[in-house]
Amino acid sequence: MEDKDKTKEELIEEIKVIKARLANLQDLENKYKSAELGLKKAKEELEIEAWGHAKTNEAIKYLYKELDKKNKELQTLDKLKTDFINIASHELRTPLTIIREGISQVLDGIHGQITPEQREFLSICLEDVDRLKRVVSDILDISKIEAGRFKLIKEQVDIVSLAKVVIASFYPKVKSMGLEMRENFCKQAAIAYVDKDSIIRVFINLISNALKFTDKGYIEISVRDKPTDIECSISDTGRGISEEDIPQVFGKFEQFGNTEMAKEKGTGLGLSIAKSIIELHQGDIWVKSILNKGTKFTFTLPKYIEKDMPEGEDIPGV
Amino acid sequence: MGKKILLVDDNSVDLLIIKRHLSHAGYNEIVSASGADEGIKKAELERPDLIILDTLLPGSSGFEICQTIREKYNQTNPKIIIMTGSVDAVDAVKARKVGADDYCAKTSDSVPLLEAIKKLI
Repeated sequence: MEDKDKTKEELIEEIKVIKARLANLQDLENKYKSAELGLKKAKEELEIEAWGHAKTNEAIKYLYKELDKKNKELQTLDKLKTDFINIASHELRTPLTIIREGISQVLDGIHGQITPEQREFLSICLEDVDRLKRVVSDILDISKIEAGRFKLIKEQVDIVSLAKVVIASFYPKVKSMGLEMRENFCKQAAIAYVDKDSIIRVFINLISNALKFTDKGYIEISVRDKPTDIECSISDTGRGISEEDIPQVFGKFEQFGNTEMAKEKGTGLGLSIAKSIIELHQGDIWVKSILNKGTKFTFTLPKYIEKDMPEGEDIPGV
Repeated sequence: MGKKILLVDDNSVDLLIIKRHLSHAGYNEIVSASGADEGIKKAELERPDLIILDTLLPGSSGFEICQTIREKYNQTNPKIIIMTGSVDAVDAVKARKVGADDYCAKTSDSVPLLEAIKKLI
Protein backbone atom coordinates (compact mmCIF):
# COMPACT_ATOMS: atom_id res chain seq x y z
CA MET A 1 0.00 0.00 0.00
CA GLU A 2 1.30 3.54 -0.72
CA ASP A 3 1.24 6.67 1.41
CA LYS A 4 -1.13 8.30 -1.02
CA ASP A 5 -3.73 6.10 0.30
CA LYS A 6 -3.37 7.28 3.81
CA THR A 7 -6.63 7.62 5.44
CA LYS A 8 -8.14 10.95 6.41
CA GLU A 9 -7.65 10.06 10.06
CA GLU A 10 -3.96 9.44 9.62
CA LEU A 11 -3.52 12.83 7.96
CA ILE A 12 -5.39 14.60 10.73
CA GLU A 13 -3.09 12.86 13.19
CA GLU A 14 -0.01 13.99 11.33
CA ILE A 15 -1.26 17.59 11.25
CA LYS A 16 -1.81 17.39 15.00
CA VAL A 17 1.77 16.24 15.53
CA ILE A 18 3.14 18.98 13.29
CA LYS A 19 1.07 21.59 15.13
CA ALA A 20 2.37 20.29 18.44
CA ARG A 21 5.92 20.45 17.13
CA LEU A 22 5.30 24.00 15.93
CA ALA A 23 3.99 24.94 19.38
CA ASN A 24 7.12 23.40 20.91
CA LEU A 25 9.34 25.34 18.57
CA GLN A 26 7.38 28.52 19.40
CA ASP A 27 7.83 27.77 23.04
CA LEU A 28 11.54 27.19 22.58
CA GLU A 29 11.82 30.42 20.61
CA ASN A 30 10.14 32.34 23.42
CA LYS A 31 12.39 30.73 25.98
CA TYR A 32 15.38 31.55 23.86
CA LYS A 33 14.23 35.14 23.47
CA SER A 34 13.76 35.61 27.20
CA ALA A 35 17.11 33.94 27.90
CA GLU A 36 18.67 36.28 25.40
CA LEU A 37 17.04 39.20 27.21
CA GLY A 38 18.30 37.89 30.52
CA LEU A 39 21.79 37.52 29.13
CA LYS A 40 21.62 41.03 27.75
CA LYS A 41 20.58 42.35 31.15
CA ALA A 42 23.30 40.34 32.90
CA LYS A 43 25.82 41.63 30.38
CA GLU A 44 24.72 45.20 31.06
CA GLU A 45 24.96 44.62 34.81
CA LEU A 46 28.44 43.17 34.42
CA GLU A 47 29.47 46.10 32.27
CA ILE A 48 28.28 48.52 34.94
CA GLU A 49 30.15 46.54 37.58
CA ALA A 50 33.30 46.46 35.45
CA TRP A 51 33.03 50.17 34.79
CA GLY A 52 32.34 50.74 38.48
CA HIS A 53 35.35 48.74 39.59
CA ALA A 54 37.64 50.40 37.09
CA LYS A 55 36.46 53.83 38.23
CA THR A 56 36.72 52.83 41.88
CA ASN A 57 40.30 51.66 41.42
CA GLU A 58 41.19 54.82 39.58
CA ALA A 59 39.62 57.00 42.27
CA ILE A 60 41.38 55.10 45.05
CA LYS A 61 44.71 55.45 43.27
CA TYR A 62 44.24 59.20 42.97
CA LEU A 63 43.09 59.55 46.58
CA TYR A 64 46.10 57.66 47.89
CA LYS A 65 48.34 59.91 45.83
CA GLU A 66 46.61 62.87 47.49
CA LEU A 67 47.16 61.38 50.95
CA ASP A 68 50.81 60.88 50.16
CA LYS A 69 51.12 64.44 48.93
CA LYS A 70 49.40 65.86 52.03
CA ASN A 71 51.62 63.71 54.23
CA LYS A 72 54.75 65.12 52.65
CA GLU A 73 53.39 68.65 53.04
CA LEU A 74 52.72 68.01 56.71
CA GLN A 75 56.24 66.73 57.21
CA THR A 76 57.70 69.79 55.54
CA LEU A 77 55.55 72.09 57.68
CA ASP A 78 56.53 70.18 60.78
CA LYS A 79 60.21 70.54 60.01
CA LEU A 80 59.70 74.23 59.26
CA LYS A 81 58.04 74.64 62.62
CA THR A 82 60.86 72.94 64.46
CA ASP A 83 63.52 74.89 62.55
CA PHE A 84 61.70 78.16 63.18
CA ILE A 85 61.41 77.49 66.89
CA ASN A 86 65.08 76.60 67.16
CA ILE A 87 66.26 79.69 65.32
CA ALA A 88 63.84 81.98 67.17
CA SER A 89 64.85 80.53 70.53
CA HIS A 90 68.54 81.08 69.88
CA GLU A 91 67.91 84.58 68.60
CA LEU A 92 65.96 85.32 71.77
CA ARG A 93 68.44 83.81 74.18
CA THR A 94 71.46 85.79 73.08
CA PRO A 95 70.06 89.27 73.76
CA LEU A 96 68.55 88.03 77.03
CA THR A 97 71.94 86.81 78.22
CA ILE A 98 73.48 90.17 77.36
CA ILE A 99 70.69 92.07 79.12
CA ARG A 100 71.01 89.86 82.19
CA GLU A 101 74.73 90.31 82.32
CA GLY A 102 74.38 94.08 82.13
CA ILE A 103 71.79 94.26 84.90
CA SER A 104 73.74 91.81 87.07
CA GLN A 105 76.90 93.85 86.82
CA VAL A 106 75.16 97.09 87.76
CA LEU A 107 73.46 95.32 90.69
CA ASP A 108 76.80 93.94 91.85
CA GLY A 109 78.09 97.49 92.07
CA ILE A 110 80.75 96.93 89.42
CA HIS A 111 79.77 100.16 87.70
CA GLY A 112 79.47 102.22 90.83
CA GLN A 113 77.22 102.35 93.83
CA ILE A 114 73.51 102.22 93.28
CA THR A 115 70.69 103.59 95.37
CA PRO A 116 68.19 101.28 97.09
CA GLU A 117 65.56 102.53 94.70
CA GLN A 118 67.70 101.68 91.72
CA ARG A 119 68.42 98.29 93.26
CA GLU A 120 64.72 97.62 93.64
CA PHE A 121 63.91 98.40 90.02
CA LEU A 122 66.88 96.53 88.67
CA SER A 123 65.98 93.47 90.73
CA ILE A 124 62.53 93.44 89.20
CA CYS A 125 64.09 93.67 85.76
CA LEU A 126 66.41 90.77 86.56
CA GLU A 127 63.53 88.60 87.73
CA ASP A 128 61.66 89.17 84.51
CA VAL A 129 64.68 88.58 82.33
CA ASP A 130 65.13 85.28 84.13
CA ARG A 131 61.51 84.48 83.62
CA LEU A 132 61.76 85.19 79.91
CA LYS A 133 64.82 82.97 79.72
CA ARG A 134 62.83 80.18 81.33
CA VAL A 135 60.00 80.61 78.84
CA VAL A 136 62.37 80.45 75.89
CA SER A 137 64.12 77.45 77.40
CA ASP A 138 60.84 75.66 77.97
CA ILE A 139 59.63 76.34 74.44
CA LEU A 140 62.88 75.07 73.02
CA ASP A 141 62.65 71.91 75.12
CA ILE A 142 59.06 71.26 74.15
CA SER A 143 59.92 71.61 70.50
CA LYS A 144 62.84 69.22 70.90
CA ILE A 145 60.67 66.70 72.70
CA GLU A 146 57.99 66.93 70.04
CA ALA A 147 60.49 66.55 67.24
CA GLY A 148 61.85 63.49 68.99
CA ARG A 149 65.23 65.17 69.27
CA PHE A 150 65.46 65.30 73.06
CA LYS A 151 68.48 63.11 73.72
CA LEU A 152 68.85 61.33 77.03
CA ILE A 153 72.26 60.45 78.41
CA LYS A 154 71.46 57.76 80.91
CA GLU A 155 73.69 56.79 83.80
CA GLN A 156 73.52 55.57 87.37
CA VAL A 157 72.14 58.35 89.50
CA ASP A 158 71.34 58.38 93.20
CA ILE A 159 67.97 60.10 93.21
CA VAL A 160 68.18 60.90 96.93
CA SER A 161 71.37 62.92 96.41
CA LEU A 162 69.91 64.54 93.32
CA ALA A 163 66.75 65.55 95.19
CA LYS A 164 68.81 66.95 98.07
CA VAL A 165 70.75 69.19 95.69
CA VAL A 166 67.58 70.59 94.15
CA ILE A 167 65.97 71.10 97.59
CA ALA A 168 69.04 72.99 98.78
CA SER A 169 68.72 75.40 95.88
CA PHE A 170 65.11 76.12 96.85
CA TYR A 171 65.77 76.68 100.56
CA PRO A 172 66.18 80.46 100.43
CA LYS A 173 62.99 80.90 98.52
CA VAL A 174 60.97 78.51 100.69
CA LYS A 175 62.21 80.25 103.81
CA SER A 176 61.34 83.68 102.48
CA MET A 177 57.82 82.44 101.79
CA GLY A 178 57.49 81.26 105.38
CA LEU A 179 57.00 77.66 104.32
CA GLU A 180 58.52 74.44 105.56
CA MET A 181 60.46 72.04 103.33
CA ARG A 182 60.19 68.41 104.40
CA GLU A 183 62.26 65.49 103.24
CA ASN A 184 61.15 61.89 103.29
CA PHE A 185 63.92 59.76 101.85
CA CYS A 186 64.60 56.06 101.98
CA LYS A 187 67.55 55.05 104.19
CA GLN A 188 69.94 53.88 101.50
CA ALA A 189 70.69 55.31 98.09
CA ALA A 190 68.02 55.01 95.40
CA ILE A 191 69.91 54.26 92.22
CA ALA A 192 68.04 54.91 89.00
CA TYR A 193 69.14 54.71 85.37
CA VAL A 194 68.34 58.18 84.09
CA ASP A 195 69.49 61.34 82.37
CA LYS A 196 70.63 63.41 85.34
CA ASP A 197 69.94 66.89 84.00
CA SER A 198 66.42 66.14 82.88
CA ILE A 199 65.45 64.55 86.20
CA ILE A 200 66.83 67.62 87.99
CA ARG A 201 64.55 69.53 85.65
CA VAL A 202 61.55 67.43 86.69
CA PHE A 203 62.21 68.10 90.38
CA ILE A 204 62.68 71.80 89.73
CA ASN A 205 59.47 72.06 87.73
CA LEU A 206 57.38 70.17 90.28
CA ILE A 207 58.77 72.02 93.28
CA SER A 208 58.37 75.40 91.53
CA ASN A 209 54.82 74.45 90.72
CA ALA A 210 54.11 73.51 94.34
CA LEU A 211 55.58 76.80 95.59
CA LYS A 212 53.47 78.78 93.15
CA PHE A 213 50.25 77.57 94.67
CA THR A 214 51.10 77.19 98.35
CA ASP A 215 50.63 80.04 100.82
CA LYS A 216 51.14 78.20 104.07
CA GLY A 217 52.24 74.88 105.45
CA TYR A 218 54.88 72.79 103.76
CA ILE A 219 56.26 71.17 100.64
CA GLU A 220 57.34 67.57 101.07
CA ILE A 221 59.69 65.71 98.77
CA SER A 222 59.91 61.96 99.10
CA VAL A 223 62.03 59.31 97.38
CA ARG A 224 61.30 55.64 97.92
CA ASP A 225 63.11 52.58 96.69
CA LYS A 226 60.41 50.25 95.39
CA PRO A 227 60.94 46.69 94.11
CA THR A 228 60.61 47.59 90.44
CA ASP A 229 61.29 51.33 90.38
CA ILE A 230 62.19 54.44 92.30
CA GLU A 231 59.10 56.37 93.33
CA CYS A 232 59.30 60.10 94.00
CA SER A 233 56.65 62.54 95.08
CA ILE A 234 56.25 66.21 95.70
CA SER A 235 53.33 67.13 97.94
CA ASP A 236 52.13 70.48 99.12
CA THR A 237 49.50 72.00 101.38
CA GLY A 238 48.51 74.47 98.74
CA ARG A 239 45.26 75.42 97.13
CA GLY A 240 44.80 72.20 95.24
CA ILE A 241 43.33 71.36 91.84
CA SER A 242 39.63 70.78 91.17
CA GLU A 243 38.49 67.41 89.87
CA GLU A 244 37.48 68.83 86.50
CA ASP A 245 40.88 70.47 86.01
CA ILE A 246 42.91 67.36 86.84
CA PRO A 247 42.81 65.87 83.30
CA GLN A 248 44.29 69.09 81.88
CA VAL A 249 47.05 69.46 84.45
CA PHE A 250 49.82 68.22 82.18
CA GLY A 251 48.56 70.11 79.14
CA LYS A 252 50.66 72.78 77.45
CA PHE A 253 50.18 76.38 78.50
CA GLU A 254 47.51 75.38 81.00
CA GLN A 255 47.35 77.61 84.04
CA PHE A 256 44.54 77.07 86.48
CA GLY A 257 43.07 79.21 89.12
CA ASN A 258 43.96 82.78 89.76
CA THR A 259 47.42 83.09 88.31
CA GLU A 260 47.41 86.85 88.89
CA MET A 261 47.84 86.04 92.57
CA ALA A 262 50.58 83.48 92.00
CA LYS A 263 53.87 84.57 93.42
CA GLU A 264 55.85 83.84 90.35
CA LYS A 265 54.32 83.59 86.92
CA GLY A 266 55.17 80.36 85.18
CA THR A 267 55.41 79.43 81.56
CA GLY A 268 52.54 76.95 81.60
CA LEU A 269 54.92 74.38 80.12
CA GLY A 270 56.68 73.10 83.24
CA LEU A 271 54.36 70.20 83.97
CA SER A 272 54.10 69.23 80.33
CA ILE A 273 57.87 69.06 80.07
CA ALA A 274 58.11 67.09 83.32
CA LYS A 275 55.60 64.57 81.99
CA SER A 276 57.41 64.22 78.66
CA ILE A 277 60.74 63.64 80.41
CA ILE A 278 59.29 60.97 82.70
CA GLU A 279 57.62 59.24 79.77
CA LEU A 280 60.85 59.31 77.78
CA HIS A 281 62.34 57.38 80.69
CA GLN A 282 59.50 54.86 80.46
CA GLY A 283 58.24 56.04 83.84
CA ASP A 284 54.80 57.13 85.02
CA ILE A 285 53.62 60.41 86.46
CA TRP A 286 50.29 61.25 88.06
CA VAL A 287 48.65 63.72 90.40
CA LYS A 288 46.23 63.57 93.29
CA SER A 289 44.67 66.66 94.77
CA ILE A 290 41.99 67.98 97.08
CA LEU A 291 40.84 71.57 96.66
CA ASN A 292 42.12 73.84 99.43
CA LYS A 293 43.89 70.92 101.08
CA GLY A 294 46.85 70.14 98.88
CA THR A 295 48.33 68.37 95.90
CA LYS A 296 50.66 65.44 95.42
CA PHE A 297 52.58 64.72 92.23
CA THR A 298 54.14 61.26 91.99
CA PHE A 299 56.48 59.83 89.36
CA THR A 300 58.46 56.66 88.87
CA LEU A 301 61.93 56.13 87.45
CA PRO A 302 63.55 52.93 86.18
CA LYS A 303 65.98 51.36 88.61
CA TYR A 304 69.58 50.76 87.70
CA ILE A 305 70.07 47.07 87.16
CA GLU A 306 73.56 45.54 86.90
CA LYS A 307 73.01 44.54 83.32
CA ASP A 308 71.99 48.03 82.12
CA MET A 309 74.28 49.04 79.29
CA PRO A 310 75.06 52.51 78.03
CA GLU A 311 72.75 53.29 75.12
CA GLY A 312 73.53 51.38 71.99
CA GLU A 313 76.29 49.18 73.33
CA ASP A 314 76.11 45.47 73.84
CA ILE A 315 79.10 44.08 75.74
CA PRO A 316 78.96 40.29 75.69
CA GLY A 317 79.71 38.22 78.72
CA VAL A 318 79.03 41.00 81.22
CA MET B 1 33.65 77.19 26.04
CA GLY B 2 30.28 78.66 26.92
CA LYS B 3 29.19 75.72 29.00
CA LYS B 4 27.55 76.33 32.35
CA ILE B 5 28.67 74.19 35.27
CA LEU B 6 26.95 73.73 38.64
CA LEU B 7 29.20 72.70 41.55
CA VAL B 8 27.65 71.21 44.68
CA ASP B 9 30.07 70.91 47.63
CA ASP B 10 29.69 71.91 51.28
CA ASN B 11 33.40 72.62 51.82
CA SER B 12 34.02 76.27 50.91
CA VAL B 13 37.77 75.77 50.50
CA ASP B 14 37.25 72.89 48.07
CA LEU B 15 34.72 75.00 46.13
CA LEU B 16 37.24 77.83 45.76
CA ILE B 17 40.00 75.53 44.61
CA ILE B 18 37.86 73.69 42.08
CA LYS B 19 36.37 76.95 40.74
CA ARG B 20 39.89 78.27 40.20
CA HIS B 21 40.98 75.15 38.33
CA LEU B 22 37.82 75.17 36.22
CA SER B 23 38.24 78.78 35.15
CA HIS B 24 41.91 78.17 34.35
CA ALA B 25 40.73 75.39 32.07
CA GLY B 26 38.42 77.82 30.33
CA TYR B 27 35.09 77.10 32.02
CA ASN B 28 33.95 80.50 33.14
CA GLU B 29 30.27 80.05 33.79
CA ILE B 30 30.28 78.41 37.19
CA VAL B 31 27.53 78.43 39.81
CA SER B 32 27.76 76.70 43.14
CA ALA B 33 25.64 75.30 45.93
CA SER B 34 26.64 74.10 49.38
CA GLY B 35 23.77 71.76 50.15
CA ALA B 36 21.36 69.28 48.62
CA ASP B 37 18.26 71.50 48.53
CA GLU B 38 20.19 74.48 47.20
CA GLY B 39 21.79 72.20 44.63
CA ILE B 40 18.51 70.85 43.29
CA LYS B 41 16.96 74.32 43.21
CA LYS B 42 19.89 75.74 41.29
CA ALA B 43 19.84 72.81 38.90
CA GLU B 44 16.30 73.83 38.03
CA LEU B 45 16.96 77.59 37.93
CA GLU B 46 20.30 77.75 36.21
CA ARG B 47 19.88 74.89 33.72
CA PRO B 48 23.56 73.98 33.70
CA ASP B 49 25.16 71.79 31.05
CA LEU B 50 27.06 69.85 33.68
CA ILE B 51 26.55 69.23 37.38
CA ILE B 52 29.42 68.18 39.64
CA LEU B 53 28.32 66.59 42.92
CA ASP B 54 30.41 65.85 45.98
CA THR B 55 29.55 62.46 47.53
CA LEU B 56 29.35 63.67 51.12
CA LEU B 57 26.95 66.50 51.87
CA PRO B 58 25.25 67.49 55.12
CA GLY B 59 22.20 65.32 55.61
CA SER B 60 22.34 63.95 52.08
CA SER B 61 24.69 62.65 49.40
CA GLY B 62 25.69 63.28 45.84
CA PHE B 63 24.01 60.02 44.93
CA GLU B 64 20.64 61.19 46.28
CA ILE B 65 20.83 64.50 44.42
CA CYS B 66 21.77 62.74 41.21
CA GLN B 67 18.83 60.38 41.53
CA THR B 68 16.43 63.26 42.23
CA ILE B 69 17.64 65.26 39.26
CA ARG B 70 17.43 62.28 36.91
CA GLU B 71 13.91 61.49 38.10
CA LYS B 72 12.71 65.09 37.87
CA TYR B 73 14.17 66.05 34.56
CA ASN B 74 16.04 64.19 31.97
CA GLN B 75 17.89 60.95 31.90
CA THR B 76 20.68 62.32 29.71
CA ASN B 77 20.90 66.04 30.30
CA PRO B 78 22.46 67.73 32.18
CA LYS B 79 25.58 65.62 32.42
CA ILE B 80 26.41 64.65 35.98
CA ILE B 81 29.76 63.83 37.57
CA ILE B 82 29.95 62.47 41.11
CA MET B 83 33.18 63.30 42.89
CA THR B 84 34.64 61.71 46.01
CA GLY B 85 37.22 63.15 48.40
CA SER B 86 37.18 60.28 50.81
CA VAL B 87 38.45 56.73 50.38
CA ASP B 88 35.56 55.54 52.56
CA ALA B 89 32.87 56.72 50.19
CA VAL B 90 34.18 55.24 46.95
CA ASP B 91 31.26 53.60 45.15
CA ALA B 92 31.34 53.99 41.39
CA VAL B 93 28.79 51.26 40.73
CA LYS B 94 26.22 53.15 42.77
CA ALA B 95 27.05 56.30 40.81
CA ARG B 96 26.26 54.59 37.51
CA LYS B 97 23.09 53.11 38.95
CA VAL B 98 21.70 56.48 40.02
CA GLY B 99 22.36 57.85 36.58
CA ALA B 100 25.67 59.67 36.86
CA ASP B 101 27.72 59.94 33.71
CA ASP B 102 31.07 59.69 35.42
CA TYR B 103 32.76 59.26 38.77
CA CYS B 104 36.12 60.57 39.87
CA ALA B 105 38.33 61.43 42.83
CA LYS B 106 38.52 64.93 44.28
CA THR B 107 42.18 65.92 44.26
CA SER B 108 44.04 69.13 45.07
CA ASP B 109 44.94 69.61 41.41
CA SER B 110 41.50 68.61 40.03
CA VAL B 111 43.21 66.57 37.30
CA PRO B 112 40.79 63.61 37.27
CA LEU B 113 37.83 66.01 37.39
CA LEU B 114 39.03 68.04 34.42
CA GLU B 115 39.64 64.87 32.42
CA ALA B 116 36.11 63.67 33.16
CA ILE B 117 34.63 67.04 32.17
CA LYS B 118 36.49 67.06 28.87
CA LYS B 119 34.92 63.78 27.92
CA LEU B 120 31.38 64.94 28.66
CA ILE B 121 30.98 68.56 27.50
